[in-house]
Amino acid sequence: MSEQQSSDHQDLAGSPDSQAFHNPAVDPAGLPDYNEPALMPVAAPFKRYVTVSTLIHWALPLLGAGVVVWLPVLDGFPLDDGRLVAAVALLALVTLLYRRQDANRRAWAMREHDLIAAIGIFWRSITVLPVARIQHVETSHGPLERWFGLARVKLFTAGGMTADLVLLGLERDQADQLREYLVEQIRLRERAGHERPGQSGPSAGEPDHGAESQQ
Amino acid sequence: MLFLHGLQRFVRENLFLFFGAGTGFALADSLGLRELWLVLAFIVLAGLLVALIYHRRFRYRVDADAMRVRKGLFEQTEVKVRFERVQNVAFSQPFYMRPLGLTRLVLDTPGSAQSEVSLPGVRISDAVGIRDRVAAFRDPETIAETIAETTGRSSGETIVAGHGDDRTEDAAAESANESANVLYAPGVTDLFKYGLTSNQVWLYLAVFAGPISQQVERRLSGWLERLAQTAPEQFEALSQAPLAIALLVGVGIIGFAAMIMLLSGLLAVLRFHGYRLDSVDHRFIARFGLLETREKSLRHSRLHSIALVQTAVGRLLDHWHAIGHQTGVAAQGPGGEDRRFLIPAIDSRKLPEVMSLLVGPDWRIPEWQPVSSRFRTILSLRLGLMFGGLVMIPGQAVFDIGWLSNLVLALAVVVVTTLLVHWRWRRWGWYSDGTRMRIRSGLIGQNIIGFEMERCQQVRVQSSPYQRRHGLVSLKFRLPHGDVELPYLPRETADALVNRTLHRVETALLHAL
Repeated sequence: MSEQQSSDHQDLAGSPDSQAFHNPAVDPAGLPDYNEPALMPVAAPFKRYVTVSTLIHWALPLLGAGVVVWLPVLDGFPLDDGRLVAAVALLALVTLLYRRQDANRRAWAMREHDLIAAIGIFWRSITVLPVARIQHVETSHGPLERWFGLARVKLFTAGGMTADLVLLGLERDQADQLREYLVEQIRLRERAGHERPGQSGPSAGEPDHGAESQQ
Repeated sequence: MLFLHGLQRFVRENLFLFFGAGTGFALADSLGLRELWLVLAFIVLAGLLVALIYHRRFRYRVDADAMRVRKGLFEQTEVKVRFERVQNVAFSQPFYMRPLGLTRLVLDTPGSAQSEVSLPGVRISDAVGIRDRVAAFRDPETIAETIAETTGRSSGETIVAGHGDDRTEDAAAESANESANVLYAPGVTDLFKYGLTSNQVWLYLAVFAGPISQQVERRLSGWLERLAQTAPEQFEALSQAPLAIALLVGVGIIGFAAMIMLLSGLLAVLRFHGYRLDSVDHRFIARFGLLETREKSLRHSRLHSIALVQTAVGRLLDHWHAIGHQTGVAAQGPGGEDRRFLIPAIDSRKLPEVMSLLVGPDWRIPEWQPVSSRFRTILSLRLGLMFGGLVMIPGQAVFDIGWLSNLVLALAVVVVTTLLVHWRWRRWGWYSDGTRMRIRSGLIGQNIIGFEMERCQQVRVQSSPYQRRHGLVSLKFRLPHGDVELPYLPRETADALVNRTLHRVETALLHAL
């Protein structure tokens, strides 16, 4: 959406601007604060989902450790006793606790003009993605997420090949609503872009693939 | 509206390109001369055949609002590019195309590399015609302005909506000598210096150092052996003077480095020969190159940020270069070629002048706001401990160099680390006037990136436990070309910057709506 420039951007080009342009002073303290909206935690089933998915992920290593220890196939392997299983189980437990805590800390908020997402336990980050920069929205859910009635929303901006922001652990309906809302915003923007031909950038709205190619 | 309907043409494919195809035979040694010739002839013939077929199968067609290219030897692909989506039109002309009046034309589009169009050999007049067509499609408002501006001018301005095919010859001639608006044209010395300063030097050094040092070593040891046999007393004398040998080696290394730098300088002169930056019709156009003449263009409105770079050597020579980052164009093309809009060899004294032309009047290096000194504290502590430990532990356990000297060594490492961290910290700086933001970073050299706050795509506020204890955060601005980081700011400052940036982004779009 970088195509849609405000007219003072013409300064960049060093050329005078023909359009009328207002630039009233803004009180920096009066600007909307991104810290202001209370962030919403992710859906409650997300914690359970995280627990189950972590256990599934760690089932295989645990099984492997068990095979090494209790089956006589690999005699002579170092650490050939319960300690190996205990170590793997401990790792699994730590991961589980970490991910549950991480699920606790995940939060997001939708403002009129941007989307805010907070993650992290020790290294925290808050990402603010202006709606105006969103090119493309996608919701997806794996089988396990489906089981818990969850979905994730992927947000793409121009230029990137991968999603710029992924919101995990939304309720299905919530995710669909969010997607519909954002798509509507994109459509509105695109229409507005078309009504003003000068501002209709190539990146206005539609997914950004420069060309259609066919075999 | 204009129509170039049904203009379907062979691309004058240049055959040279394909001669090189499939020359990956490394078994030349094991073959006799005749076989070698046979293989060579076969490859040339096959290459010729492939090139011919490729040429025959390569078709392009220019419609009113789009261009279509069909190509492919075994698998035909057809790509259609709508002009309104083209970001950028680039020409490049290798020297062997020059007498034929051909050029290579690339249309950059946002998105994947597969979907872009490259015509490997078209007549210059056709290429210019396509460029103008694309330009005319870009933004109608700009065109309207252009027409209004240029009605008084004599010859056909490059972009006039509605000019016909017959005018393209005109435009080509004009494009060759439109020099009215030269913004910047570095001299040969400047370009040579750019070659010295550019980081490419280290690349050459890495590429050549290995084989050459091997060669030197072999020669030298051979020479020493002979010396030992023929003149034992001289050899004796030589081994008595280790300093002389060290000096010799030192001189050799310096000489080698000087040679590489010379090479790099010459290559830069070759590559950027006759560099000229113009501003035509809301586009910056750079033309350069001795063997391969290139033309890159960048629309003013596409330019979202400019990186100013001074390398470590550049600092010695007081030289900069600038890179214009544009929306939707990757830094590297599919062939790994350099897609960046580079303005090489800017002397420190000319810097404000050049930047004023690019960014806006009265450009100058601002008074940098520092980042928190805690950045230095924590980083020197962490890195110092890490590197000190890295030296200390193997020093003790493996090499057994003695307790005291090991400690001294580790301390020296810590001191050097701290110094480097200090330099790094001192280089961090930022400045914002509320609409543009500039961030400086670097160690010995420096890198200044200036961008419009409204061009940000995303802002991220990060904090580690240490930062939170001291009320600090790090910021990450995502721009169309990548992330720009600004570490260790006081929370309030950072919040104000973030809010300001978001405000800029969101109101800029309201404005556009």
